[in-house]
Amino acid sequence: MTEVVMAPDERALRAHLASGRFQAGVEASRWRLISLEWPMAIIAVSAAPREGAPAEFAIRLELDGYPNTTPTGGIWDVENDVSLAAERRPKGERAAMLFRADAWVGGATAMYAPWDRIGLETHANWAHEAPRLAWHSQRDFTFILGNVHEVLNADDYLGV
Amino acid sequence: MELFLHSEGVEDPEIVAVEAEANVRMLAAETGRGGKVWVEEIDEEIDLDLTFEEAGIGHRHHVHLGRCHRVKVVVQFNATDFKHEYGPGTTIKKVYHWASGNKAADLSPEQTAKHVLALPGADHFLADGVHIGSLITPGTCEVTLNLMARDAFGG
Repeated sequence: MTEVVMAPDERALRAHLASGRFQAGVEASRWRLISLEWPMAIIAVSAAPREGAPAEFAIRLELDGYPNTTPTGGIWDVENDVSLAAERRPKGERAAMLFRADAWVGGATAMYAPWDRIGLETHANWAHEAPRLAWHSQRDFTFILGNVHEVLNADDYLGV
Repeated sequence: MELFLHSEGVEDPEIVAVEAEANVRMLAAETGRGGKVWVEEIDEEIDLDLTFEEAGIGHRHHVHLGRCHRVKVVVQFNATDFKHEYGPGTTIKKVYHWASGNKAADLSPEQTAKHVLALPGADHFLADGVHIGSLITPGTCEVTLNLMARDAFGG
C-alpha cells in the first residue's frame, strides 16, 4: 500500500484546526469548519443577529503554502459553490469594506484586509500601517477568523 | 472528556483529556507545572481533592492552571494608569469591560467599539477569551496592558 505523505502546509493547517484556539471558537459558536478539500477550506463565521440576515457567513480560504504564504479568501455561497452575490453580502461600514463587491481586483474571491494575500499585495502600506492586523508566517488562520468575527459582531454591522 | 486548559505564559488554551471522576489535582500533577486551578470567571480556586464532576467542570469547560491567586492589572491609556485586581481565570472580555468603563478610561460607546487591549509591543490584539492569568509578567503576578485604538487601514 502506498503511504500518502501530507505536505507541510496541509499538515500545519490541520494542526491549527485541532488547536485549542480554533476549537475554543467552535465551542463558543464563533466559527465552524464546513469543508476542507486541500488547499481550499470553507469556514462559517457567526454574525450578530440582524433582521433578515443569516446567523453566519461562509468564508472560502485558499491555503496553499500556509502559513508562509498569506491566505486569501472571500465570502462564499456554499449552496451554489460561488462567490456570494453582492445583495447577500454583509452591510455596514467595515463589513461592506471587508467584503466589497465593487470593481476591486479581489472583490469576488478575497477580503479587503491586511490579513488577506490579495489585500496585502494591492496595498503595500498596510503591513506597517496596520501591523496588528497584517498577516505574517507566525500567525494561524484563527487570527483571520477572529478578525472577521469581530467585524460581523460589531455595532456597525447592519445585516444584509 | 476534554477541557480547555489555560496556563501562565501561553495566550491560547490547550485541549487536555481527563476523566470526569479524576481529581482536579491531576491537572497540576500530570502537566508537571504544579499550582492551583480555577474555573473561568470564578475568583475562588477549586479544591484540588474534588473530582472534576464534583467541581462542576464538564466537557469543554475552560479552566486555569497557575500559581497567582490574584493578578494585578495595570491598563495604560492616554498617559494614565488604571489599576485593578482579578482572579487568574478572568477573561479579557471582562477586563475590557472595566478598562473601557466609567471606573477607568470612561470611553463613550462609540469609542469602546473602536478600542482593544494589547500587551505592550505585541503584534496582535488580545482576544476576548484570553485569561488574564495567562499574561502575567514572568516571576510576578502582574500584567500591564495598553488600551488602544484598533489599527486603521484603507485607501
